[in-house]
This record gives sequence, C-alpha cells and structure tokens, in this order.
Amino acid sequence: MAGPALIPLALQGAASGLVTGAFYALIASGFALVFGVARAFNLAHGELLLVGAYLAERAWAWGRVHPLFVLPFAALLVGAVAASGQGLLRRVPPGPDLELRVLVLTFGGSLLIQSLLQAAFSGDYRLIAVPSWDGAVGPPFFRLPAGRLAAGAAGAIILLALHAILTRTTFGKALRAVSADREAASMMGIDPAWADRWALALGGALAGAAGPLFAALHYIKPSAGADATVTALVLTILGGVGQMLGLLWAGLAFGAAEGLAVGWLGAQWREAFALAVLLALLRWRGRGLAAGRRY
Amino acid sequence: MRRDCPLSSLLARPVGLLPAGLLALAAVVLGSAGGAAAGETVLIGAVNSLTGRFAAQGTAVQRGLELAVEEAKAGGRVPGITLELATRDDEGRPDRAVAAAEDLLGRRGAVALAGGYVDTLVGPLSEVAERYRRPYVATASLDERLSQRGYRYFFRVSSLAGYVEAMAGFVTDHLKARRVALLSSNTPGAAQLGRRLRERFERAGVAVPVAETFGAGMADFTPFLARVREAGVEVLVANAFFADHLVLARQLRALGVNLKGYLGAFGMEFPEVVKELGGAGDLLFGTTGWQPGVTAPGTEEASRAFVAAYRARFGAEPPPLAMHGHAAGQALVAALRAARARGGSVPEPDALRDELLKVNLPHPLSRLQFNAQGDPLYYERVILQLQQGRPVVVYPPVRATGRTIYPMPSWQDRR
Repeated sequence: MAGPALIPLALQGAASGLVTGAFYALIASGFALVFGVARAFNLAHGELLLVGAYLAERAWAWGRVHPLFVLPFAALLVGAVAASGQGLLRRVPPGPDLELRVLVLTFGGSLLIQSLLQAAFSGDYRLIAVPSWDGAVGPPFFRLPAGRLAAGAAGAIILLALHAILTRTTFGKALRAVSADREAASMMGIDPAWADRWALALGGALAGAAGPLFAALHYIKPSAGADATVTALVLTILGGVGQMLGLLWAGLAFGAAEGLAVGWLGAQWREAFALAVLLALLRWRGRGLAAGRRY
Repeated sequence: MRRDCPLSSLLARPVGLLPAGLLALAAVVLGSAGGAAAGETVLIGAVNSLTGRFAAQGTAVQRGLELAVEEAKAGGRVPGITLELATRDDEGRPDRAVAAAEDLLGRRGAVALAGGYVDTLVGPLSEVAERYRRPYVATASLDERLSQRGYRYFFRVSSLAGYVEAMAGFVTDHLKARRVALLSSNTPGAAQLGRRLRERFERAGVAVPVAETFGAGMADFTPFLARVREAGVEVLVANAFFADHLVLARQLRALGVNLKGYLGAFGMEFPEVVKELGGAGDLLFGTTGWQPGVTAPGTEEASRAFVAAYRARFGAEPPPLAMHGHAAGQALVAALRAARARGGSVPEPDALRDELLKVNLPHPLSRLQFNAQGDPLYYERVILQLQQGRPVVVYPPVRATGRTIYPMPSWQDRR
C-alpha cells in the first residue's frame, strides 16, 4: 500500500470505528448500569439483546416493519423480562461469595435464553436488510454506511438521554445513591431492592433497544449474545463501572482503535490492536476513562 | 441428544425396579429375536452439531447420513447385518464432541464414526477414533494438517485441494484477473485456503495487494473494503462463511466499491444465503460440491433419487452439506459390505479400515476413493454464479450450465 494512501485509509478506519463505537457503548450501557447499581454481573446481557434482535427480525420478516419502530417495543418487552429477574436475584442468600453465585445464576439465564432462541428460531443466521440503510454518506473517498451511522447516532442519543436521566432527575439520583453506597442510601429512605429492580428493568430495556439495531448491522444467531456480553464487559472495565459518559468515551476509543487497526494494519490486527489500546488506557487510568466521576 | 434407542431412554426414567426389570427382560428377548432374524447389529456412531452455532450445517450432514444408512438397510446392502446409526449431538462444542465419541466407541461399541462440521470439531473426534482404533469418516473438513498426522483411521469426504483447484483455476484461467484481494476467516481451513490461493495466484503472476484474515464477530468491513478499493483490486476472494458474505455484499454495495468479481468460498450455495442476499447477491460467485441440479457427471439419477428421498423423509429441499453426510454414510456401508463379504460376523475395525482404503464408487458429490492419508482423491468443487436469484454453474467449462457474466456492472449501473 502506498504511503500517502495510508492517511485517508486510517481516517476512514477511525471514522467507521467511531460510529461503531457509539453503538458498542449502547450495547454495554445496560450491562454497566446493572453492574453499577445491583452489583450483578449479568452474563445473560447479550441474550437479552438477542431477544430484541429476534423480535425486530420477525417484525421485518412478517411486515417489513422498520427496526427503529420495533426499538421501543423491544425495550419495553426486554425491560419487563429483565425486571422479573430481580425476584431470582433476591433469592440468592447474602454471603461472601454472593457475586459468584449471581454470576452462576445469570450464566444459567444466558443458557436458558439461548436454548429457547434455538428452539424457536433454529440455528440459522438471520439479518435485517433495510434498503434505506444500504446507502452510504460522505464523499467517495470517505464513506460511511447509512445503517451504521444511524445505529451509532441512536446509540449516542440514548446514552446522552440516559446520562441526563441519571444526573438530573430524582429517580436517577436515587439510583446513583444506591450505586455509591447501598447502606447509606437505605438509611436515607431509598429501598435498594427498588433500585435493583429499576436498574434491571432499565438495563434490560437498553439491551432490548440495542437488539433491533444489532440485527440490522450484524447477523444474528442464538449464540451471538456471547460477543455482545464480552463487548459490554470490556467497555464497562474501560469506561469505569457505572459511568455512562465514560462508557461512551470507552466505546468510541475501542471502536476507533478497531477501525484504525483494520484500515491501517489489516483486519488480522483488529482484536490485538484494540486490546493493546485497552491495556494502555487502563494503565493510564486504572479506574476507567471517567475515573473520579459517577455517571 | 440421544436418539438411537427409545427403549433405553424409557429405561432411564424412574419407573421402579420391577417394571424396569421387566422392560429390560423384554428388551433382551425382543433384541435377541430381532438379531436372529436379521443378523448381528452393527452400530455406526454419528456425531453432529444438531443444536448450537453449527446446528443448520450439522443437521444437514446428519440427515444425509441417516438417508445413506436407511437406503442400505432398505436395500439389504450389507447382508446378514442389521445396521444402526447411533446419533449424538456435539452442540458445536469440541468437549461435547469428544464425550460423545467416547460414549459411542467406548460404551456403545460402535464400529466406526461419521459426521463433523468444521475442523475444530473434526480434529478432536479424529483423536478419539484413533485412540479406539476405529475408522472415522469426517463429513466436512479441510485442515491439511489433519491428514498429515499419520493417523490410520482418519478419512474424510472433502479436502482443501478441491477448493484450491476450482477457485485458483477460475480466477486465473477463466476470469484472467490480474489483481486479487484475499480475505479469509481465521478458522484453520479458511486460513489455509487463503495461503494456498495466494501461492497459486502469485505463481500465476496475479498480484495480491491485500491478503488478510479476520476473526469471528467482525461485522464492519468498511476499512478493509476501503483498502480493497484503494489497491485497485479486480476480484475479491472471500474465504468466509455465509453470514460474512451477507455483511460483505451489503457493505460493498453501500460503499459503492466496484469490483469486477466477488468469489465466496463457503456457503454462497445455500438457498437461505441466496434469498437473504437479494439484489446485493446478484452476479456474485460461490462454490459448491453438490446441490439439487448440480451433480458429478454420470450421477444424475442418483442425485435425483437423493433429492426425492430427502424431500419425502424431511419435507424440505436438501442443503448441499446433506450430500457430504450421504457420501460418508455410503463409504462406510460399502466398506462394511466388503469386509462382511470377506468373512466374519461383525467386521473388525482394522478390516473395515482396510476396506475403506479400497472404496471406489461413483457418488453425486464426486467419486469416492481415499488415499493412504484418508483424503478423498476426487473431491471437486465447481464455481457457480448467482444470476437473478438462481445459482448457475460457470466453471469448470465441462460442468458449466450457463454463461459467466463478468465483469459485474457497477453498483450505480445496477440501480
């Protein structure tokens, strides 16, 4: 590859990565919220996202319903499913290995949802091909697929709205209080179980909202949830637990690193380069990109 | 999933000792009566992905295998023996595949194994079979290293060479492309295919300015496609699986990257892919070993019979991989028959292995014959092109059923 061509290629890669990264942040937001408030490592997060994705895929197959129209319904449905999981979490008796037992519980949930999806939809790959998202935006040497741009924009908007809810409303402040110190929040009259339930519901709704966009950009299959959970886990570590703006920055950084690697070095360097950037950032800011802030 | 013996699953239920004992007695009596009438039961073990990430492919292979065994039973192809297929689901996981093979060979006493999709499952299965010294006929495997280990009991009905010959010949001799990009999934078979094709292209004087591998889960190929456009590539060869083609084809169109040709190695022949690709798939090239209407010369009747049997048995069109399962089943049946003819009630594994090396019979997938390493001697892929939603064979010329449309018109002209 000629030297001068590397700069536009790297730019193209970085821009694609930024757009993808905003969507990554949306994927991770529900996971980070649940972990921040309920201290539950939800390994079924990716499978909850897939429930929204399959809902959108079915709606598209049956009546060509645009994924963006399905998005609020998917958020409501998956939010309700996730909130119902709080009853199970409450049954886990407290103890020194509570987090491990919650981990096992959510892992079981992920296997259960995966098996149900397999039974309902088989292992076939599915994809929503929205014609209006098949175009691209930008000059010939620097084009971004319309679908990815739409998903990235939706991701950024939802995350900023969530940030506003968590920082400017009484409801959000109560969740943050529980996240900061459950006992102190309880003494101030905030029921931690109430906060857990809402965190699970909101986390599920965010996963559900990401689902239709995921189905329009990736191919879906019952086992596709694991990748989404890993992405969420990495970004939660990188962004700093329970910090939405940090999560957005983390998503953008991770996506840009991936895009730069593919555009500049080649597709085989995508994971290695992105993880090297992750390690470097964590060494720089060990407690996450938004360390020192909460939400 | 255990589907081999409904009676054993019934016995596994907590029905109490006395009823269970009676049932067991009945099973012994009935079993011995059946054996006396139809000869000794010989068990073939099948390990396939019936659930999990490879469920669609594994189910297709399994069904082809079932048909081969049922045909043999119905036609009495192995006189004096009652053939049974014992099936296990590996769920697409190597650990489950190993456990299933251990169970079938160690506990159930299967004389041979068949099945397996992708080398990450076939590799561990072959190791178990080698340890038990029982033949294993893999149904979909490409990794060259698997047949270079000196294993005595490993056979497979597919090979990398079939892909390399068809794809390299098509790009260099038929399309006469001068600049090619290679994108390969990082699975062992796909990555090796990428390396072999690169060697062939460069030997033929074809420039390969972009040759990359990618990991599972990559769904944004935009930066890669920008490199392809920048390099002035004529043909993109994607050694990727069918879901990747869905994403790649859409992004090629979205970005307006105009290639003269796109050749996908795996999965372009699947009807679901053709349907999902829609307009974006028109005029793309793929490969196939067999599918309804595309069969090895001289096997048209057998191919039609298989399609009819598959439809009748499963109520659906046979996917291409179903014929891989059928080929493995037929090879085993032929070897069993030959070993049986040489004497002995139940063929010894070594006798079966020796007879597998002598198998030589026509089959819709390609003539079935193995070399000393267990690789197929005649496995052949043909190149097809999606033309208005229909796969048309365009290479090699002797197998072509239609004309190659090349170069593809630009995306702008298609609109």
